Amino acid sequence: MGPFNMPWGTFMALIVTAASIVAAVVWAVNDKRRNGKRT
Amino acid sequence: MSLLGACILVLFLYIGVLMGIGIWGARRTTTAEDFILGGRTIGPWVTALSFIAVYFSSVLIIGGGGFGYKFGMATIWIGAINVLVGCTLCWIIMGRRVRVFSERMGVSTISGFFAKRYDSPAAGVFSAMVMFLFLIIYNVSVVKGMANAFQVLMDLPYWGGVLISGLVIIFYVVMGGYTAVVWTGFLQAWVMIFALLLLTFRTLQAVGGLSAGLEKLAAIDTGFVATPGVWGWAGLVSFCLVVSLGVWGMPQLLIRFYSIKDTKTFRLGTVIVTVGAAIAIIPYLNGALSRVLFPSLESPDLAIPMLSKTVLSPWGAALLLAGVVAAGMSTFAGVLIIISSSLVRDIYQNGLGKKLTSDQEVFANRLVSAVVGLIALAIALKPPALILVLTGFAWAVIASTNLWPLLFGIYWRRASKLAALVSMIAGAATALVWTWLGNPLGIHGFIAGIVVSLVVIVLFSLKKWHPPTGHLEKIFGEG
Repeated sequence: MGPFNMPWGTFMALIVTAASIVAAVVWAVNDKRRNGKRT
Repeated sequence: MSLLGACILVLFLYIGVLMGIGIWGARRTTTAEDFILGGRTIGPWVTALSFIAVYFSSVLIIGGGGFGYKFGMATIWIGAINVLVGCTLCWIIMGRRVRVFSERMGVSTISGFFAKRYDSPAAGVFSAMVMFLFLIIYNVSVVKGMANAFQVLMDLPYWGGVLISGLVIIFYVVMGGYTAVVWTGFLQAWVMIFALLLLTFRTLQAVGGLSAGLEKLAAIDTGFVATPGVWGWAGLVSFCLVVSLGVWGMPQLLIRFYSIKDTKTFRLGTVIVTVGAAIAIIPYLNGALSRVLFPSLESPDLAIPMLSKTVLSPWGAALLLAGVVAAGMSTFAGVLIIISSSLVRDIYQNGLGKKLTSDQEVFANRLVSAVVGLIALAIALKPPALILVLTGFAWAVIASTNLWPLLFGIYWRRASKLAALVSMIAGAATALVWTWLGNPLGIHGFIAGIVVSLVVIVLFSLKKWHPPTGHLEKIFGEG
């Protein structure tokens, strides 16, 4: 059983959501760095 | 104050603001490009939040809550996949390239993209006709959702809900065009976010917190907290795909990429859309937890209205009603502007070869928006049985038509004219027939549609095709 009495299979949905946010931030930062190098 | 009084006050204020944005938008709309795309000057916050508002219609809040009530906590996966596939990946993979290609080709509509990219007016007209027909039907279902919310929360007759919500939307779309649509969408997204957060906070209080609530829910049936739980993998996975990957072919969402002011804006926009879209989880969570408070509701769709009447103050319930109406209005408005531009620019001008001046095109778009909006309202007042059946088809048919020709069109040079047209026809026909047959083998019509459409576009593109000299170089910016 995961946090909040939630089975891990269900809790993973929250982890996927959080990971999406992290992925968006990482992509944006990388994109800015790449574009900076080009110019 | 009573629930009715609070709802009336909140709605009057809210409708007043929307109409004000419509009038303000009218002053900023002078050219056809302004009416269709807001002059391509929209920033990251407005683009991202209006994307969320159009994506998550009232169907999400009421229907999502119903799904949560019926199938339990596994449904929060739908929200999670909406965030990852429907927002983050869609923005990263499609966003910037769609923006760059649309500007390079000088097109302002999704159908215009097909006509130019594939040098195929027929592909443009076919896509425009599918959008025109099925988006009207889609809008009928959106208006029904809003009117039902008015019925449950304000005891307003169904026709009253249809007219109030519909006429306000038509007013601001006709006046302010795309500018009004995105700015009202921006406001509506905030209303939805606050309403859903408030509902969640109060629901968690009412069930004794998340841990206690889930323990009580598991005591009813452990299948209500587990994944895939009472729903099963087939139903859960296919539904997640339909409502997430389908976004990649929905014109009312993709048009947001056309109108964003520059390619740098995608960085912040992608982060905002991902964070904001996390609200998609909330209706499912609340719907699941509502079973602890109401173990045997007559209909799952009553979960969120009952919850709001029970756990929220009259002001909170009024805010939630505004959130439900906001979700529906933003979707209806976003769809309405796509229908009018498809009809005026893609079918009338590009398809039939009629020329309009910019002023005439703005007037024609306003006229078509008003007429089409009124037709959708008239149908929604007493929907024929056939229309009700077809509302379930709209999303599948439109997404199956557009998804691969658009994605391959921006990434694969070999994607050809004939391949795109045949893929569109095959995708639309498969989705339509498959859904009509009642989704054989438990496979949703959208899945069948995109599989057939994918196979067709790949196989046909691998055949030799000679584009006009320099055509692809120009499209891919290599000329």
